[in-house]
Amino acid sequence: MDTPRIAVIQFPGVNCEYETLRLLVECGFLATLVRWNEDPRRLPNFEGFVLPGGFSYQDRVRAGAVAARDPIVEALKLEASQGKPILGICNGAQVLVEAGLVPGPDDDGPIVALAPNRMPGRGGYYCRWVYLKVNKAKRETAFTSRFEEGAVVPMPVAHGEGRFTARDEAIFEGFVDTGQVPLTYCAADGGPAAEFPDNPNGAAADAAALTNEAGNVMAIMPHPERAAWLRQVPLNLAGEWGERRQAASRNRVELDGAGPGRRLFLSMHDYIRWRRERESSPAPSGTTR
Amino acid sequence: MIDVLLTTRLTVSDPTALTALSTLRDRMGFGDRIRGLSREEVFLFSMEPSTPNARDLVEQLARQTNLFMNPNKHAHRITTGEAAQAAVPSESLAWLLVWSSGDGETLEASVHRHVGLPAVDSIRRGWLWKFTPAPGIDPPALLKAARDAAIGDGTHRGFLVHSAWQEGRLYAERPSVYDVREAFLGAGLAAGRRE
Repeated sequence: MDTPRIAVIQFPGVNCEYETLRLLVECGFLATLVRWNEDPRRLPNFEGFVLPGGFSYQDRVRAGAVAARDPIVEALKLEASQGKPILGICNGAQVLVEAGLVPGPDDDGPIVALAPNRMPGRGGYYCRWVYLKVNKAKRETAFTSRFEEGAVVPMPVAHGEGRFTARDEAIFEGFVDTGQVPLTYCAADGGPAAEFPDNPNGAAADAAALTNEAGNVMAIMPHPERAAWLRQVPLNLAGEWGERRQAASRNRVELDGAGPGRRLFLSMHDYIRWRRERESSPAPSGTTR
Repeated sequence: MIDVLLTTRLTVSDPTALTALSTLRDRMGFGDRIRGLSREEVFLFSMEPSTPNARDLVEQLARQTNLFMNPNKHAHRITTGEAAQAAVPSESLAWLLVWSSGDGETLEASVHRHVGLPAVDSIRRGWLWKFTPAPGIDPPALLKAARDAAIGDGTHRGFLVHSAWQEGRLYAERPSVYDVREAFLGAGLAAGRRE
């Protein structure tokens, strides 16, 4: 079977594109960098897309607001409507939300935003390792199949505008009910994120990621690509992954093994292969696809 | 309360305003209606009524701390309620005030904690965008263009005001300290010049 073809979209000002490419290759993708000003007609050649982290257009106006108006994003919307997986990481997440790809179009205007962080006694940029809990009992997404329900996954956050918010609280409660919040901030032991810094930005419903209704487009604020190799995990990180990292010290083979964030990309790989199989097998008579 | 309005603007070119303008003109189709776009940062200080020389105090805060501006690259102006009432320059432009609840609270905490000024009761912050019309565009048409640019519809909705967490208000003239206070604090003062 051909290697899944995936594009990393490079907007001016992003800075995580090369490590994202490297990780995608490690996960078995044929990964290609596509610049924002290339012909959008290239996109149908790819089976999935990643919008990497960084500071597209220097976060001018609002993070992701200018990139979301780039013509290539219109082409991405068409790809998303066909069910292809699209992952936006940090600034990529901000672009997806500003573009309305997550949570999806709404006739009444934008209902969700990634607003400036709310932290006690301070504002602005914040970075640290945080813990995410996998919530997929209500639905599987294109990005979570390799995780177990309830798993605790540490990843770093690094952002100034990462607070998932909506016009009113009930909107996010609705997303939780429909399973569109597959990853939530939590305590190191998997318990609820009581307060800052477990929830590092004041996000509604402790949301660290949000998907569209179909589950094939996801905006995630933490950086899974910075938690993809065991050697990227801090030695002093509390919990299972920190213990694994300590046990692997000075063992290069183990340090080059998978970190906690890699499963997200492997799930995406599985999803693309599942899509291929679904599209290549004839539908049983009497059914529609 | 005594209200003092501090506005700052870059004296060097403002890349955010330039990028916003090129996005509006080149990607959102406003080139035939909007010729120019600039912005100022707006700080509304509410001070205790007994504060002597409230205006001088804000001037001092602006010049001697690095919380509000950098004198090497910003110009500033300070307006009090009285001055704004007496004379408001009238320009055929459109003005858009953008803010969100809680903007300025961190500054307020810094002023209390590090500068030690209990006379400052509250600080609220926002951005004031100024739209210049393209040739042949009259004031009502410019206001409509500014509204469309700010809020928009379809794929371009909410470019300058994201309605999920920001608020915006359009003015046909530069908003006074009363207008800003009414917008930020909902104080219901008679402004009368809002669109």
